[in-house]
Amino acid sequence: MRSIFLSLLCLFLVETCQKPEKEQPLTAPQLSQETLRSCADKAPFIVVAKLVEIRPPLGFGSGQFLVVQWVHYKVEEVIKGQVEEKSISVGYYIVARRTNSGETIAQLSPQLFKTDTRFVLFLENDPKKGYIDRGDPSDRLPVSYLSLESCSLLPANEENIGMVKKAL
Amino acid sequence: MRSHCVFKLPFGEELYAGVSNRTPQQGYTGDSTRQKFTLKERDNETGLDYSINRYYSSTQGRFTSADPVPMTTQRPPDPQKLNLYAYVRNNPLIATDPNGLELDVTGDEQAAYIASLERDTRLKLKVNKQGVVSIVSKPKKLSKDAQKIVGIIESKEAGDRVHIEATKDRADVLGGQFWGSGEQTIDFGDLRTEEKAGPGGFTVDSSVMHETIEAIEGRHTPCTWDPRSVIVPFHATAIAAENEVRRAQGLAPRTGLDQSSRDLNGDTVYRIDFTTHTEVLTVERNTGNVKKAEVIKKQ
Repeated sequence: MRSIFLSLLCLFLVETCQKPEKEQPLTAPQLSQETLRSCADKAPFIVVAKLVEIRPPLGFGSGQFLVVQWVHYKVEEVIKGQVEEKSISVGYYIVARRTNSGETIAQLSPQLFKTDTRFVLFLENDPKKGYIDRGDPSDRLPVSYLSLESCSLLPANEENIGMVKKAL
Repeated sequence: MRSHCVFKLPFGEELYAGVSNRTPQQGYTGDSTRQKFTLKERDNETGLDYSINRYYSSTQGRFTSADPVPMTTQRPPDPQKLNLYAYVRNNPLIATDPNGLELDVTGDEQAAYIASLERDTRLKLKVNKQGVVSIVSKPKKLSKDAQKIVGIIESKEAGDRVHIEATKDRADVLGGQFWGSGEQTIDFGDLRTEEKAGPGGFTVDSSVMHETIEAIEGRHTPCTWDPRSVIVPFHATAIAAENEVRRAQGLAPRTGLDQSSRDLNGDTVYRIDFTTHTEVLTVERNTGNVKKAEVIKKQ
């Protein structure tokens, strides 16, 4: 009885915390058309950019403070908003044990944030306060944004770029 | 900690690369962390998960000993609760059992945590040997946040559980850390240093309230991609709770408009903003500990 019960349940994969995002645990989730439209609508800036460098983590996850880690990108195409600088830094909130965080310390996953990878980024202005980071001036370039993370880390392939443009 | 959400069968047995055509490229790996199913520490020799009150066997989907709370009024009407070895009423897709009980606090600073929580809520609490918190007495009137805490302690809902790790000093935690799923670490070493900065800055009691409410707010958080949706609203609620305690202490509220920079030694300096003061924390680059805290009154 027990083995039948288990066999039936084995049809479902469950993660440590919750159900898996499709079958690719190391990639950001795919966005539905509806989510994509919502992201395109609410993001003040949308760019296609190549990841140049992932800056070191602070070493703590958020808790008493909101913690941000920075990534440097080279902007290749501006889809929405006015982004004039080619080199920008994008801040991501760090929470331990989220799917974008790293193995031994709270940080962005190097498996997801790979140098030279092109992404479609949904961005908002960096308020420059309301969070803590390493405080290193080289982490945050003169032009910086925060990532609208509910819009995921969307690979910049033709299909995705086309979908984003269509959603605008 | 994990780099990603590790795939498991419903009762916690892990799926590794090599099992049923699963490959490392698909993200299936083993990992070296000892914290396994629902973040419980797994004994490498026996494969059992340490669940504070007893051991859990993920391959069998059963605890290896009977529930230490053998008979409650909820058990007789619910047949799934009659088996004292069963895990979450045999329904692991819906519920988890982080420690088998409702609110527990472990670590060297357990007593300090309870003392702060009592001052924050005016509850009289007691803790058993396993760290499980229960209520001895309540005041006639409870604040909104105290009601939330009472709700967790007295909750009978599966998954309505909070675990606080109260430590003296943990290098990978600054003040407090949110882990989701109702788990929070509080570094009392940091909190005391922060409090020493003087009037107007952080207090241990208000920070304990912050961390507790953040843990409660995050107790049902899934392992999602999106950290912002998880932490930003919970952090705002936690700051509001922290400010309620500060108000009762006669202190100005925290605004949440924190900032950071570097000093000449390469140490990181955080400027924590309160309406009347700024608390400046200097965190040592190598240890991650708060080495200096001072409060500066705003002009």
